[in-house]
Amino acid sequence: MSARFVRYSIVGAALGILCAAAILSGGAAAILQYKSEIVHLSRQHVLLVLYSGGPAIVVGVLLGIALTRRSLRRICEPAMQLLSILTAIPTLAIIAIAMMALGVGKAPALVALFLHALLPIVRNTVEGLRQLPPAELECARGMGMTPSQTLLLVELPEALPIIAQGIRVALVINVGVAPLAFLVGGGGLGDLIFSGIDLFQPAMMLAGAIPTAALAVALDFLLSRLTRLLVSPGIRNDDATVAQL
Amino acid sequence: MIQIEKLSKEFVQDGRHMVALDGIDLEVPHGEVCVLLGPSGCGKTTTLKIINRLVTPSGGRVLVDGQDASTFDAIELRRKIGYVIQQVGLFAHMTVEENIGIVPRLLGWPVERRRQRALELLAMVGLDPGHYAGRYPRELSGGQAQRIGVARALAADPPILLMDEPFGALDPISREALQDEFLAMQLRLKKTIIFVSHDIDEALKMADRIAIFKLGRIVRHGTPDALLADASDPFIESFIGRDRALKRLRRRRCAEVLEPCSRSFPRSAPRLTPHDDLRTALSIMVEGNFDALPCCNADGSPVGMVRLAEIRNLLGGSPPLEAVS
Repeated sequence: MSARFVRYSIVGAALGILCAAAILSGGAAAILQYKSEIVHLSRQHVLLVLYSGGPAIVVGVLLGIALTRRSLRRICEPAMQLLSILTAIPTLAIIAIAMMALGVGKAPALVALFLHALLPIVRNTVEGLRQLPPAELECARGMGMTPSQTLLLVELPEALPIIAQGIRVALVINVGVAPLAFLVGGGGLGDLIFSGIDLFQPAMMLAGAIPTAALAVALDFLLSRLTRLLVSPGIRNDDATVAQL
Repeated sequence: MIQIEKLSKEFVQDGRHMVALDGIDLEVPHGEVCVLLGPSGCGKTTTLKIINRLVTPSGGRVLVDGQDASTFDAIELRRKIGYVIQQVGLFAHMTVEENIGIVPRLLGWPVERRRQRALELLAMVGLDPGHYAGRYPRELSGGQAQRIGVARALAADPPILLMDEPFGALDPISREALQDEFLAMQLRLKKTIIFVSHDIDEALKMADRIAIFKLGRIVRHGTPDALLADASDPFIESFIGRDRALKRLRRRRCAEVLEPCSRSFPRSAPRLTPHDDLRTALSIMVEGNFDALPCCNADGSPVGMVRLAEIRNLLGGSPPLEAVS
């Protein structure tokens, strides 16, 4: 219960600060003048996150599965380190590099967001699959499961809470990183935020920042609900204290 | 029927050549419980895992019903062999019912039949099906979990059961209870069972025959009584303990040494029943300084006498022992 309480308190405090800023910057009316842009750019923002996050989930989970197979286990550690180093490159730099290859527009932004989301997903998939009790895996083999049956019937369902945690962290962080897409003409709520900063228009900046924060919170809530639905009650941890990234 | 012929297993660990199994031979007839007994690291578990092909032997072979196990498809073979391990290994995300039904599911049984089978097995291992079917493993005690482990291994009615110290992690009371229930179940099911244990009392209780392992070899092989009668090897002696006479008597019933006698006895005298074991009889005799005790049915009708001299005779005449060089 306490972990959830802490999380909601932090979210509440952050929204409180934003609201206070909104009032100081001229109130709701000043922000709501950007209503049509907010709607339009929020949609772009969500699509940026989904189009980068979707492939990141598919690639990340598959990569995590591959790295924990017997034949690839030896290169698992080096591969994870390589991925960590890649992730240590600032997203801004990745966007710039991607822009040189792909030009301006959505493509470089999607590539950067994709790479950014990849590490938490791969890492949690690997960790989730590594932590399975050896006795269960021995039983699975001993009773005559094929490797793919072991993966589908035992390994993935049991690792699901940790994998889902990685996906949630990756996507929620991406909502906050996606405003950088503005810098290469990728669209999204970054348009309002960066323009607001450049033009000394706090209301415009907040018209981008508040929906971004709200999207992150909403996505987090949605994904945690979805995880609860999918994870078996036999391994559900109601006070999740899985290592945060 | 399982025949093991000249089975050996060697491997390299940290650059050193290790011998886990050094050419063992063993035969387990259909419907018998064979206990592999020995200290840890002597090759018992390796033998078990070679039978269901979790481990590949370096030499020798295993015959299952006369056919070389290595000619079977490993997956098919394992589905015909129940497997129970000490850590139980129930799947945490599945309910008890799903856990029991997993091998039938792999074999493609319809859902309803799997369900029926799971409920039937729950009742057989002494757990209320209505109460436990929908539970998850984390809600179970150690003893309950291992009952489910046994039920899961029996689900597809395999003719062979491999059990690796299945009751080793349980407290003494649950262990006794599970052993007793398991023996009662085996009387009806007549599975061919290979049972790994390091506990001599468990082995004497469960086994039709015992194979004693030492450093990758079987040093003695025979019925529990034969082993107890002849502990000539110091290693076996140390394993069985110096109270082997008492251990033998524990396995024998008063009914086996009864001397006919129809006179009635005073109500106050200590009396035995034909089902009492001879260790109990001896204990009462030693305690009360008796040379003989009356043996009566539950209704009090006398059936005979148990004499100390007869018990001595029984211990004196040793049955033949199959020595393994």
